[in-house]
Amino acid sequence: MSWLPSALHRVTEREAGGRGRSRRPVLITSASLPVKIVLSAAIIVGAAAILAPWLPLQDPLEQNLQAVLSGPTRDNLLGTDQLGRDLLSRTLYGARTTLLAALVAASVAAIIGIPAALIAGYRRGWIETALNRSSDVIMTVPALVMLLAVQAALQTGIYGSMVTLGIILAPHLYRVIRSEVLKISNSSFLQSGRLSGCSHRRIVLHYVLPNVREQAVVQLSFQFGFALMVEAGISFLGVGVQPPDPSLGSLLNGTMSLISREPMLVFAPGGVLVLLILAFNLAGDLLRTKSKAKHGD
Amino acid sequence: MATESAKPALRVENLNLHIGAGPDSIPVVEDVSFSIAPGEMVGLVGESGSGKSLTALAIMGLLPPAIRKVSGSISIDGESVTASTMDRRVRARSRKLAMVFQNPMTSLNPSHRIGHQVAEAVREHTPGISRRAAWRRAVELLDLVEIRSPERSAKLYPYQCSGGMRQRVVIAMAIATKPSVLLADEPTTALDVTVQKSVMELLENLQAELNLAVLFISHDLGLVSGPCRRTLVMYAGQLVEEGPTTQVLTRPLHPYVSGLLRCIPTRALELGVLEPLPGRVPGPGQAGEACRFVDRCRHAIEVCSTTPPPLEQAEPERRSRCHRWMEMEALEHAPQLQAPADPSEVTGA
Amino acid sequence: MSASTQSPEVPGTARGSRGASVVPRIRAVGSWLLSSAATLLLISFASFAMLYLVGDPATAVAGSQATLEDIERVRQEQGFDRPLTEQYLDWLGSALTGDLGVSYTVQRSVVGMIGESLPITISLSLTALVLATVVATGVGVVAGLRPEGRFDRFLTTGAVLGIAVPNFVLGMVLVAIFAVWLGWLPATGYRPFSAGPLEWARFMFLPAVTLGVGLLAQQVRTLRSSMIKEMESGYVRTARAKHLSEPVIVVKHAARNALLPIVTVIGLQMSRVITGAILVEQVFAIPGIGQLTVRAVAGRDLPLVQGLVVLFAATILLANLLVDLTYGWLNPSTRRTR
Repeated sequence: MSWLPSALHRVTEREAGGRGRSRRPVLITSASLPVKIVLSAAIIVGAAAILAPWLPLQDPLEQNLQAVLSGPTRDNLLGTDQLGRDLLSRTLYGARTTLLAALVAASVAAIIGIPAALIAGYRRGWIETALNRSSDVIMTVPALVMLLAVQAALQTGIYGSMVTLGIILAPHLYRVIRSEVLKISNSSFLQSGRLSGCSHRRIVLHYVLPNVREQAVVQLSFQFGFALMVEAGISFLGVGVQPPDPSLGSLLNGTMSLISREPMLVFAPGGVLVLLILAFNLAGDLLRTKSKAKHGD
Repeated sequence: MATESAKPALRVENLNLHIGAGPDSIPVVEDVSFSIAPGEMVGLVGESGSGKSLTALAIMGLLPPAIRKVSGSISIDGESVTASTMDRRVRARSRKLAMVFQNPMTSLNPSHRIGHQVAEAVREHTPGISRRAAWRRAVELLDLVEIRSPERSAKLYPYQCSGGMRQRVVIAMAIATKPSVLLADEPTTALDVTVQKSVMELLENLQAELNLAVLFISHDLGLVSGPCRRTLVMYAGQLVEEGPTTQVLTRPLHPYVSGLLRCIPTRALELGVLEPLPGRVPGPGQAGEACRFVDRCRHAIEVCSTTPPPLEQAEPERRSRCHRWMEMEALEHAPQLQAPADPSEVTGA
Repeated sequence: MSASTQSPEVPGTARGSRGASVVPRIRAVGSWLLSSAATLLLISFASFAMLYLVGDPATAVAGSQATLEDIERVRQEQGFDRPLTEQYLDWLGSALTGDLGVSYTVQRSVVGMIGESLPITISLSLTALVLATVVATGVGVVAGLRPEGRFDRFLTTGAVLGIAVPNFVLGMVLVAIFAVWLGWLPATGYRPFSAGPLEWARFMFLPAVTLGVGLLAQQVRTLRSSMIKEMESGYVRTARAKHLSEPVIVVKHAARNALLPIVTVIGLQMSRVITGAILVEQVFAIPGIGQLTVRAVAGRDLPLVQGLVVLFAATILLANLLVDLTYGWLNPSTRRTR
């Protein structure tokens, strides 16, 4: 309550105890149980997906027209799809593709966005104005639309699209990091660094970058989740990963008519997709809360 | 004037407020009792954490959920208001209470015009009244609180008004319900010094015109010295002194009050010494069993650390919560406190 | 505070009532027009360059079966060998007169095709937005009244999930449950309003809900924390001291201010609405702009894609303007700064 004297406020929070108004725990290790479950599950599935080529899985492309749309069996733990391909293997390989694709997008966004933000926030001047304007313009077109347009022009594969997505995501990262840089630039400890004669490069690397890192990780976490969603989206539309290659989105392409016969076709890739996106969102939230607590926001 | 009439405007008895519940709950206001006569302005002075604001909130029934009223009875014009708030008669009685808060910048709804907000209070007081009549009355009230061009001002939004003006609007809303008792919680603290004076004068005028009983809460002893006939002092959740203001300020019966007075630069010049009080106010639950002021008291003796001092009726109009109140006058003028001959020798420590 | 509060007790210098700040708002629209025109020019040029320069239009027109000679011939006939700026200015000139060219895949004008599909998507998007906002308002306000209470925690969990689930996945699941398994609603398709409101609603319900859930989740989060903040504010305490009843305080005071950020959130969601519409229309086979876009891309229908890109950009810019104006209208204190 805002009008309680501050000492009382602290006591209140402590004494008010477990029921009702206590603040949510702030460190990752003390995150609530459901969150921990989700994150653990995501880590397990993610690891399995990335290690898929080395796991004893069936060939995700191998068709078996004798065993079409079968339910879970001993050979096919999640069943098979409409062409008899093993669903578990396709889902894991699909997750792998989707994760790697999102990684490309997030990396490109970071490579472009963070240096740009550092330069703009530190140097200011015309370069900042130019970058601001460019980022505004890029943010005006919805991501999916731009990706589709690039497809129409260039017909790149999934990785080309992901590089494009990275370019599209960079402005969002740029904005956040730039405001962090501005905040730090005005802080007194940076002024003292400048006064003691540090070169610009040193200031940026040693003063600005470490503080900006936290925010960057938070944003990249959210952007990774978003990239997962976008990759799945464009593959679902048939514009990203092309069949028969599996990706969480392409696995969902064309399955709508089959959902009644074999719901696993949707729930397996869909479930994994939701799990992964959820995990990245939750991780971003947790990191942000932890960072806020550390800086006494 | 300060004697307890047959029907005091406000009477508080044995108010006890705790944080938390059960055996581990911590008292934040302990055993507070006082009364205010109709038309009387009484000051309630204390530092932050003394419990003065919570006392007022408890009287109004606006305590935050974390604070629990463990005991205490409150009566307005002789009638109790501590029964359940569902009782309509009780709610009507509690409408004779009004409160003005500290921060005028946040006390008004930014989306409603100020005339509308005052009219809302009017309509709450007189349920059947038409909108137009309520608006007219609101304009009257704005005029009463000395806002210029009240018809035009009523159409303003809070963001168009200064702090002093907003506080006047809050006062207008408070008196719209024709209360018997007005609780003013540091009404001028957030205002500029020049504005403070005019708002104080307004409060005094209104008090005289409407025969309002006013509880004026402040952390500033100097501020209450003018308008308040009587003053109550709270420390760490307890009432420690009460009396006619002039007497409390010239002849305090509690070491805390005399210590405070020694901190005020202007008074210190008279007394010849300027000394801050050592130590800090104990937080809730931090004070020991006995006198709460013992750690900082220059006159503490053994009994002060073992037995909690009761609030005694020291003189007909004075109370003090100190074992040694009778000796206060002597203690205060003891040789070691003699002023140095030359006041310029006193450093500002 | 600004100049209008220089003489605190004299209201004469203040702006007065609502309508007095018209001039700043016209100025706001003017500056929006300028900056939007510049942005659209930039975007349309970049898009044009990408499509017509990098993505070889001649191959797109000639088709996948064409020989190299065919492609060269097409290039000269269609004027694709002219300098880029010349081609762009040609396009721009026509565009400004309302002609966005002719589709490569179908012999119809781009404007015509867009005009046909756009109303359908607008009807879908508006329905989804209205549904989302109405529900979010009710639910968010209630949750904000009891922070960390059961309802609030349930709602927050729901919101987190709602943001994480991609809408096409949700759409398929909803179809599976409500159309296939329960058979209550049709799975795909679209019926215009002229075919009867009930029919329209039956076909529109699942798509609108699918699109709306993601929007709802974001709005709820904002509304809930906004409501919590308002309920803790000084003026709510004043209202209680005025002995106003709790429902009045919640609705007329707290909620009135808590709903303000919704406008901004909706503005930020426009991008999501467009993206969502594209995906949802695909799932539910709705013949709107979204499906048009997907077909255009699949068929490398460059004029259509170009027109659509410009359309979407213009929509976002317009949405930004509307948000600014609405926010200024609803929040008196921001008007002066425009």
